[in-house]
Amino acid sequence: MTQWNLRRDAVVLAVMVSSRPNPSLARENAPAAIVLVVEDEILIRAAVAEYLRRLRYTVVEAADAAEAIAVFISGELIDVVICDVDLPGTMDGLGLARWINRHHAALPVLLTSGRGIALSAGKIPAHSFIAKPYRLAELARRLKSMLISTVSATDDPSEPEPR
Amino acid sequence: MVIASYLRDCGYTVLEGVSAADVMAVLGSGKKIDVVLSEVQLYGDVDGFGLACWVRENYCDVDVILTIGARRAADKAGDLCEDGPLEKPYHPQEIVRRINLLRERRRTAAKA
Repeated sequence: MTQWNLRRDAVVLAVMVSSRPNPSLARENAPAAIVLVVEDEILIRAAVAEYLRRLRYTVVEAADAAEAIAVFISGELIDVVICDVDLPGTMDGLGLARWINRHHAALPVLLTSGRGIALSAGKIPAHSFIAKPYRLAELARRLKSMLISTVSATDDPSEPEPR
Repeated sequence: MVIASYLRDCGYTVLEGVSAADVMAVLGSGKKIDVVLSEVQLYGDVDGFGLACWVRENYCDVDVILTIGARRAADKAGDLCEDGPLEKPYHPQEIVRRINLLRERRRTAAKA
């Protein structure tokens, strides 16, 4: 084997419209949570995705609501969603959050926006909101908090303790 | 993106985009990109061919790998990426091989 085969130091920008994530591949290689990042601005999406991957999350990216929905339909097991409100196309982030709430009621959604969003109860089916610009560390902290809350909520106190 | 996951498992840093505009935004931001791996068919007005031309004209130190599903366009793609387009379906290892080859050429050229 020639030496250069072992050098994997390139930065690759992959541009594709037709690939969908492989659910079994994600679970097999990733004991950490799977985060779906829905953001149309690639520089923001790439920065968030790279930061979360360094924190050992598995990150699936979507540039709009249609792509995000396709991720769910493909069978990808998402643990938490970060979604910008202002998405291109016929469905914005609020519409996507409603869709997720209807089809995956327990899935936490963290909405983001550069403008203030009224999160009165019942109107916005999102579990949390973070205003842009945000620090990536704060985003990660909120994400972790949401994941912990989700795990706690699924524990049923009426279940008998295992012996 | 399956190929992105594969390349990350191989140790590469991978950014994901869906359009030529994404590539232009990333390169324009000054972020260091070594290789653009692109399908010919993309969202937006610019396809993979147009993107490859633009990258060649504006970022000559960035290599381009095109993937293509139509045999009839293979000749055109061959003009835009040195080793010809990768026809679908392709094995992900072929992408890795192409990236390594391009990187080695750059290193050799830099030493000369």
